[in-house]
Amino acid sequence: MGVLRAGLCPGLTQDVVQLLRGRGIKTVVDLVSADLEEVAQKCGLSYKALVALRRVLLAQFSAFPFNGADLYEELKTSTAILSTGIARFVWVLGGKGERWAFDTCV
Amino acid sequence: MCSDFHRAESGTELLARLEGRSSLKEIEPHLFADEDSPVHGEILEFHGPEGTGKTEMLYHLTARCILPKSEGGLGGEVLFIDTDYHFDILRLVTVLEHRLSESSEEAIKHCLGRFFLVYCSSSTQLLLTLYSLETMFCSHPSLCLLILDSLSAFYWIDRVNGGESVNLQESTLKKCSQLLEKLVNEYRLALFATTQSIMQKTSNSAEGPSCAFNRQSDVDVDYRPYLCKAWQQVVKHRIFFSKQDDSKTGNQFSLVSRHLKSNNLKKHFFIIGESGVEFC
Repeated sequence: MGVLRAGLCPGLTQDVVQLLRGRGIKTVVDLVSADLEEVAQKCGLSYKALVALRRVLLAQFSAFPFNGADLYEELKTSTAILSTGIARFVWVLGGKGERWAFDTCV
Repeated sequence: MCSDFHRAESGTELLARLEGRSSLKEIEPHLFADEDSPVHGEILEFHGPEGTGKTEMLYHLTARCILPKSEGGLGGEVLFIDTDYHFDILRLVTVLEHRLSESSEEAIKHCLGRFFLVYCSSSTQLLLTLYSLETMFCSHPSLCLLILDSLSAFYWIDRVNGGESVNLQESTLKKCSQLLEKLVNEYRLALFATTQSIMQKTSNSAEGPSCAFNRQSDVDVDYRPYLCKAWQQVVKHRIFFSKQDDSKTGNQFSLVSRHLKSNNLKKHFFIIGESGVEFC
């Protein structure tokens, strides 16, 4: 993740990459943190196109927030709680998309 | 880019935004009920070694924030950024169950609906995620608390990637710190970030801010700053966590809260039970 190159995302052609590189914008972070109005003026690119490009890059490279209620629902459907009869603790193991919680109650 | 959102915001939305981000003095009276207690727009750092209760304290603050007002909470939303990949939703649910007067599935889900979790696997991804979260802060007026567990997770990776140049090593974290400050101020959030104690205090330290700090109080705090200067400058309030090793005190933890501007120090003790953090 990092360097801007043609085909990295829709809308990022070789021409666009060259124009941006010419103004010192070489990585995804450079583009996302830049003042797009200034970049549009200096590189001769459309402001709207740059904003769209920024949005696509962010959607592609940033992490997506999960809602707690959804996470809990997912946990409930993929976790089984089994009693083992030893001292009280809950131990969650990770598996391939499945989780097993051993609830050991006295 | 989000200035477009500001221009499109109506008067009622603005009021909802400002009113929705209520004061965090109510979030934990033990820690924050001082004259210089943090309100929204502040950055606090939880610092300490492993196993000293920092993440448990974050669960405690999260629970207090997402619980409805009728149950003594703030009814606010929380965004939790996890860089260590150790967030435990079961633990949060247990804490909520103990604190709700009626711990039904509905009530729990209602609280969890106010909680958002993001995982980040690198400092670059953290930086890009913070940019993309700006739209979320705009559209969620009751989002008042931003949690980052932990900020120091990528310290060594960044050091290696930066090669010999200290500037390069610190550049991404520096940008993260500056962006966090901007977001916290613009959207009136409170940021709680944890950092691990990964550096030992230099023995015989005759100079440096950590030594002056120790001389001022009888509180012994093992602190050596290692994150970039940009981060040191944006932190307003630093809270040091430690575990009591005394057999008499048992499972007791302590924290020393230091307001960096006023140099005000306060010490608190707490234990961690089934229902989370309980102050002594």
